[in-house]
Amino acid sequence: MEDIKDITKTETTIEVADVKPDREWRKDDASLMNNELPEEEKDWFADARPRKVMPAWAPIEKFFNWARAHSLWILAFGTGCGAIELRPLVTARYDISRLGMQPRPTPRQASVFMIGGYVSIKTLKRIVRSYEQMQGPKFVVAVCSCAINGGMYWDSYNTVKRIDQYIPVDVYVTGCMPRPEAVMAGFSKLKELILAGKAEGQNLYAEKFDWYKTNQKQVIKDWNMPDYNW
Amino acid sequence: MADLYPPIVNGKSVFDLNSGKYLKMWQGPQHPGVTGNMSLELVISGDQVVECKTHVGYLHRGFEKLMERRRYINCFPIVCRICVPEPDTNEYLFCTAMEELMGVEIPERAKWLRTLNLELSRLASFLMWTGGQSGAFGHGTVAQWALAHRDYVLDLFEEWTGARIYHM
Amino acid sequence: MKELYNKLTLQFNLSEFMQQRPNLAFVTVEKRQLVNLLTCLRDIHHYTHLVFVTAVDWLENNQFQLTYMLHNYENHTDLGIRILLDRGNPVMETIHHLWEQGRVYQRELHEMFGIDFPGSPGVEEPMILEGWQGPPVMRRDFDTKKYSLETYDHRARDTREPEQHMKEKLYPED
Repeated sequence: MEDIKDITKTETTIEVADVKPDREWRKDDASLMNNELPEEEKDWFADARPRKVMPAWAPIEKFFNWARAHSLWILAFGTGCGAIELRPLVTARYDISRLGMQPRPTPRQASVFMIGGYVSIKTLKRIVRSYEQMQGPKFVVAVCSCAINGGMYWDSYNTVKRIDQYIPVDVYVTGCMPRPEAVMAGFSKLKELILAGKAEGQNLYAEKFDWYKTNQKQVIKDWNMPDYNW
Repeated sequence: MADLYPPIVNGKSVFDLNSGKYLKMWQGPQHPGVTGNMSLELVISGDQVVECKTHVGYLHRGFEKLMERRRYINCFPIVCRICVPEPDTNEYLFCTAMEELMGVEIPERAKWLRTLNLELSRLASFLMWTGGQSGAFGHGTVAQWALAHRDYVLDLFEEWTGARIYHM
Repeated sequence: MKELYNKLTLQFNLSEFMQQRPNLAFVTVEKRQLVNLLTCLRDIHHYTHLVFVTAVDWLENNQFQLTYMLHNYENHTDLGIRILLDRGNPVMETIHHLWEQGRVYQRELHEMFGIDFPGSPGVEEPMILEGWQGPPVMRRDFDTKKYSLETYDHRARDTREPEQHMKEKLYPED
């Protein structure tokens, strides 16, 4: 058995400078609740907080913003009443395919999260989970007046009044069922914000992560998921 | 086919999830095939669903509690929004309940208009169901046609009060 | 439906028969005779469909009033059967052995009103609210506006009463 070489001990090592070992990136996050788990379970939970994304060099960033604004993919999550105005948007009359948007089934492939209408506590837990699983540049558009200040259900025990305190929202669209044209106007406003470089919901979430988490945990009483669902 | 379903113990089926024959998955609220916001806890074997348990409550707003705090006429917007794709049926129910309590008979033109409204709303709701369900299966064309025709019905509703879906 | 009532009064202790429409009637019965009455109606008088089970909270009389609605497919009539429960200790027998859908209604009543149905499978699992630690929600002494103002943060509102708006803005000199 001596002629089978032990390849871990050969000398053909590749010189890769500046690659830190895995755990060293994540020294700043002792505050995540899932940090004291045993080593086997740590793979299942995110062990780093969300990071702020700084814009790149200006002309390249302009190109990136142009690319992001013109291919927004919507997450197909019919949260509340607003789901019923998401469907006519995809048909040929109020075509959003010409703006580059299409509904995607998983959060890993989506950029825009359209929160439709009222949000009950049970749905809020899933919204937080889906939002944190979205990648890269992500934006949130909240339609209907129930997301703005509670709307008609302002004295209900199960709906959340200001969605702004639980997830960062970029654009609000008013209406109690806004027309599809109004929702498209909201998306156009989001495009303007992205092109100007001002759609900073993701960075706001990374900065004020503790504040958002405290608010969420105050309302969602049975928290049985990781602190950051990446 | 008989060995697809496992033995029943204490009124519940016992699934051996480690045997590789069953898969337990959640068709959760975030799913393009679920029309609306609900979740199904499925146990499937290949292509066949063996057990399904529903989980509801994602849309609970406490309507009865809200209606306790409002007067009768303030309850109309609330009753409208109980069922999202077909709101006119709930409004009709509430209206007739109030009329029966008050002992009031509505004029004939109102009855005709009400019948028209309910029939159109039924059409719109069926078209929405056809479109949504076939979109979930993958028949994208049926979804586009059904939802496009539903838009014509909603245009008629817009001449009614000004709002496409919720008339109150 | 008066004949049915006359027939049933011989066997059970019924009170307060109210015929609201030609095909809808309500009758009140004692709590301990309810399951027998429902079995009799289901097997003998063809009332085979349980439509719903709801509860009304009579805070002034300190009672819960449950209503079981049954439907007859042969002559298309509805019969609602009412019982009164004590509000301090609301416990009722379960009817899930007669109709399976009774389980779901009893689960909902347990969560919303706090009425206990011992023996019904799965009646303790929360169905609609998740992680709720307060009192049962639908009771009349649960103030939902106060709970909402305390738990959730509200944006400052700008309500506009028409009378006040007119007095201030349009006709200030009056």
